[in-house]
Amino acid sequence: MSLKSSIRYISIKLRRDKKNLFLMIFLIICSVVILTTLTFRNNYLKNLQNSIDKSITFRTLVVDPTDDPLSEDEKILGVNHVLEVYQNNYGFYDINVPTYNTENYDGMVELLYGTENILPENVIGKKFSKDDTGVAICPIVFYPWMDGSKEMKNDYLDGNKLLNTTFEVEREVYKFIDGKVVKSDEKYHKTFKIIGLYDNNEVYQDPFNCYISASDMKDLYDSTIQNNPNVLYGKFAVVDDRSNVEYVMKELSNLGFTSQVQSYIDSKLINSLKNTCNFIIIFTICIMIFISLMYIHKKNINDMYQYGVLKSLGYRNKDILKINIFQLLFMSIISFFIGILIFELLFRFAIIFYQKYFIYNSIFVRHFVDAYLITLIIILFIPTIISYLLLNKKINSQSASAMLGNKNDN
Amino acid sequence: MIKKEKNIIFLNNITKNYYLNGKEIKVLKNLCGEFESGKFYAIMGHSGCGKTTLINIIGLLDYINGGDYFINGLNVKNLSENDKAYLRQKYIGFVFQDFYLDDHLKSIENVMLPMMLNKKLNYKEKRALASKLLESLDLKDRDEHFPKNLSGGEKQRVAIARALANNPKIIVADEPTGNLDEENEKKIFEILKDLSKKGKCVIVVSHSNEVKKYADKVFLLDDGILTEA
Repeated sequence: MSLKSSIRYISIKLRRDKKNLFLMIFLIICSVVILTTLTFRNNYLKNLQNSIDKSITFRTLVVDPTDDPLSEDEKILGVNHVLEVYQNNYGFYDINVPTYNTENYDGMVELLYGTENILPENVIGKKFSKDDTGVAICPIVFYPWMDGSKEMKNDYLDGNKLLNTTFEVEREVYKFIDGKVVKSDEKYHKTFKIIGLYDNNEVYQDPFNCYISASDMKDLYDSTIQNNPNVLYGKFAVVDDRSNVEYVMKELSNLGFTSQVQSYIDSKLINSLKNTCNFIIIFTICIMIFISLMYIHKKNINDMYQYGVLKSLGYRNKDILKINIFQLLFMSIISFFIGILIFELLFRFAIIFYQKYFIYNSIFVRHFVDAYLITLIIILFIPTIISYLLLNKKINSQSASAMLGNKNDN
Repeated sequence: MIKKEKNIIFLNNITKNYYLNGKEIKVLKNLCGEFESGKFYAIMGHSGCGKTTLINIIGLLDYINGGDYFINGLNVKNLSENDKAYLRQKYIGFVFQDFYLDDHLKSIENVMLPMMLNKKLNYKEKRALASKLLESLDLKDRDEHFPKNLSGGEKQRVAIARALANNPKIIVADEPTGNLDEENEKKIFEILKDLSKKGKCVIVVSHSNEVKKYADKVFLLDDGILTEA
């Protein structure tokens, strides 16, 4: 039997035999579930890995203070691969920016400690040095709103339009008097000019993070909060690359420092997420096997006389097997592609619906070829293999007359 | 062992047993028979005597437990399943009591079903041939109909057209008129008779006495033995 004839016959049967619809709908649902689960899992893990690789917080070490604070910086900087060391209370500073405090945004910005060594590489415009003053580098997609718990209703500020504009920060001044922190009547004001922009999503920074120079950060902090002279502050040590973090920690330990990475991964959460995804896929496969078994078994019983007829017409067992396998392959492929269409719609809908959330959290959502391949293999092979095993056994163990059910008149 | 080349079918000491609840039932007991091309044979017998078993053996749908069976001089007893399938395709056309048409295929597609195995003809040629066969059986205006839209007589004629699709030398029909009224019964027997006149070996299993009017030879199957009536 030629391939062309088989395809012609199968396409007619698929179009007209409505019984196939049940299995196809089921396979479509399975395709969507598996594809969605795999795409979600892959995106989650990929984003996690990217944030580990690209975010400065995964290569910034928090070094505990020692009894010899004066020589700490020198010792830490002496370790290979350490780019910068600074007191950890200068690391970041949440501040109100009246310039952006409008009805659309709360105007809260997190200022980050910046030097030539630790500024993001992807800065558009100018960079600054640690001693410059009144300059800032802000995100391209800028969102001066730190309350992530609230629904984001507004669009991002276009950083390109903000380049070379200024913003003013405002902060109450607290003083340390007689061992107590006292709020004074003074207010701190400073104006910054945005001289550069960076792609915060690429380096997994929040859209409200602006870099200011080290000297401005010290001035801001010291003018508004003041260091407690009785407290020993730890250090932030920025490593050049994530791959060198372990080495630096080891070296610091040899020097008598205790350190840990600023950001850490919640491995329990990741494992539970992986396990949940695996469970969904395995559960779907089990249901697929069960439903396919039931459906194909019932179909074989119903169609057995037709197989007998085909045999009486000269079809060999392998011709009948071929027709059935091809039919299931066709059904699976059609179901898979319809599944892709539905998944694609859901995917696009999710991207449109959660676009702001994704940008705010630096989440890149994309397609993964391996998710499609794995789904295709599962959808294609499970029903086909089941069909082959069940039908092969059945038609080889029965004579054509038995298939036709004509043994009554013996 | 006797083997007559002029007979398209030659059955020699055929035995066939079934096992029912562990008990052996001998259906055919050293059955012998000869069938020639160009003749219409009727096999009659009471219900349960083994007529269908015999026709299935002749049609290579069932296997024998003993004896020898020759088609066109070839002993088919020890042939593989694939070889038997090839012989069915080339030599034998089946007509069943229940028509066994594929409900999802139109008349013409049902007739083309056996032709799908023929790699020498292209689709257009197969379709033209099927159309011609339907026309020869007065079904020209029914070729695009599905079985559910055909009468019993029409269904059986489509089934005969399907049996003729590969131009077989042998037509075996198992109670072909069992589900038909008298008028259609006559029509079907006339068609089968006509086919025998055109050189086919037609073997019909039937309860109906009407078949005797058309048969060149009537066999009676009784107690597993075939005798000429």
